Amino acid sequence: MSSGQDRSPSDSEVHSPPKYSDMLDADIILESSNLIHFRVHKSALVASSPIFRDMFSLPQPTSDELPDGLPLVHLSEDAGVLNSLVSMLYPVTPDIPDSNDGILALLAATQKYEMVAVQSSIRAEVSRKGSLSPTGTEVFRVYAVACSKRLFPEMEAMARLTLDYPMTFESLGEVLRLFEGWALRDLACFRLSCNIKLSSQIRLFLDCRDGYSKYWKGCPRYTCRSENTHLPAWLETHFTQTLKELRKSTHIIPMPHTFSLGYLTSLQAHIKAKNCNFCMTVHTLKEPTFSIGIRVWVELARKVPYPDSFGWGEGEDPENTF
Amino acid sequence: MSTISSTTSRSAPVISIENLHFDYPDADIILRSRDSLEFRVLKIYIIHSSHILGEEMLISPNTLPSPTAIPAEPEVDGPTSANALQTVELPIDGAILFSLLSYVFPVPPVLPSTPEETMELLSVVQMYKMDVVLSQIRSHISEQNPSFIRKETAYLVYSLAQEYGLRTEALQAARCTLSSTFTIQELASEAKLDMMSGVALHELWKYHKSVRLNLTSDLEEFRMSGAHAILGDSSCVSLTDSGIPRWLDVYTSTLAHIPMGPDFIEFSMKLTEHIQSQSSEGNRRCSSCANIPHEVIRTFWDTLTATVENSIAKVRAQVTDVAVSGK
Repeated sequence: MSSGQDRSPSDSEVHSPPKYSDMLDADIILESSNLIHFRVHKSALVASSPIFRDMFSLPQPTSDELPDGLPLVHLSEDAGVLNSLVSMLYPVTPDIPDSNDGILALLAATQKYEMVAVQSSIRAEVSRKGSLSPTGTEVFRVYAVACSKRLFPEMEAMARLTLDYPMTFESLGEVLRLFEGWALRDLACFRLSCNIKLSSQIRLFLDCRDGYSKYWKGCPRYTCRSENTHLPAWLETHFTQTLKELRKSTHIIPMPHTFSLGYLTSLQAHIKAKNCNFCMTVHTLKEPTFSIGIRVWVELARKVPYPDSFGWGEGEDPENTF
Repeated sequence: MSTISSTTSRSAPVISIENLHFDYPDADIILRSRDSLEFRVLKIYIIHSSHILGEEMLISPNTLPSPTAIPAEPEVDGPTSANALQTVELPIDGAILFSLLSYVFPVPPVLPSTPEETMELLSVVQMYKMDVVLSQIRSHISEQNPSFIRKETAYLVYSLAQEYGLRTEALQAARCTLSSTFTIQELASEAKLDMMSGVALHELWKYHKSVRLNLTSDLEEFRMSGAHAILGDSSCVSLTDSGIPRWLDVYTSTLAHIPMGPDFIEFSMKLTEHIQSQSSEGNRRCSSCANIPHEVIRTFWDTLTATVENSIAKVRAQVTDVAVSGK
């Protein structure tokens, strides 16, 4: 899987000649945008795509016929995408691109031709291989590309991956140019929803309104300034600081283990400074439960639904945007 | 749409905003909008306003008999030149074309009602290189109250200006956005992101960055030399290495991060705060700052304001280049 800035994957992925460009006893030719011919079977196309089925049910023009008598259909996809697409229509080894952009282009083609089953197969294969797992700024770039192609599952998956990274003008840089306005808005709103979810869990804890805060009442070494909560000050300080950082939707939503690590670091500092047996004991006895609890907070936040209404304007049908 | 023959009675109004009616006396050409509205006008005005439109009229083969020019009794040789008007199709919406013509002809000018239409009008005028009309429209726009480009409209206008390559409006709108907090979070919460393409947003971010960089540099120079030259030697209780009161140094440097322009009231409050805070702590009251002459403060303030203004204005060229490339 490429994690680089694969801006022009299609050209680099064009096989020379394409692996699946000449199927035996073909009865139609698909011509790619870069004029490569793929001899395939109408039946394979018709079985997978209602678009091709409707196309072939109409009288075929004769002006584009080739000397060998096969009808020619011009397609806007390049040879790399068509090669992968054809590989999915026949009982051959699937030839799915390695690059992020290549995968998105292939999925976009299947969406365009309404190849529902083929699209599912590609997604399953991509998932199995662990492809489409970008990191860093590339996550935002792939999200923007997925949005431009209206690939909803990929938009959602990438939106969740962005939670590991800050989202600012500085961090996005040139990638910002790939975004449509609504795509950036939706991402910002989604991250804010995740943020609010995690913040609300932390507030419940700080206000002693959840099941875990009761464990911490009674630290004799360094009690909290707030009489209402009775939480140790180090714990309150730690989570109050976390809340402050979360206030920006541009901030990352930490992974569960990172989140737990922050708590552990604060606890160690407190025990070292105050020699606090109470907090040590609470941690020893309750740590498994408490750790699971705070992992659940983060997991709940990271699983906030990414509504499928995102991105589509009023009255706009995402299926008809090509 | 005009349905009155050019030879009919002149009792009908020449223009009517309600139904976008434009029927100029003795019209010799019909301009037809994209949405099929027809405007009967005098060719000479159009030719004088725009060479491009003028040439389009001269080469346009679309000389058709107008509906009302077709004689009641068909003539053997077809309509004569006397009652047939040349029709020129223009790729402009009727409402925009109506507004455009109101600036070309000696009639009360009519600005479109929405920022989107106004920007489209400007783009059409720019496309046809109607320089005089462009100036008139911009002048008209500048007289609007509330301002056409203000905090609420700045992002929309900027986005449209980038789309249409309107340099002046792009710069004015970009400048106006300096008074807002410019973060993705803030823009999302204010529903500003929907109207902006990623390209436009990136260019605007670069503009903000350039302004901040320029301000940081120029204000640094001002703090290091210009400020002391105006204030002279001070005996403030807390001075910087460059010899100016520290509170003033801090205030000046913060302007680079909030480039919405210096605020004299805020400046005065900082001065008062400085003087009072010294006395309330029981320390020596800063009589030096308390006794800065008004004229010196005024000079300092004017110079500081000019430094900020000039610094922001230096980014002008970069934005104007950007506006075209962003199209």
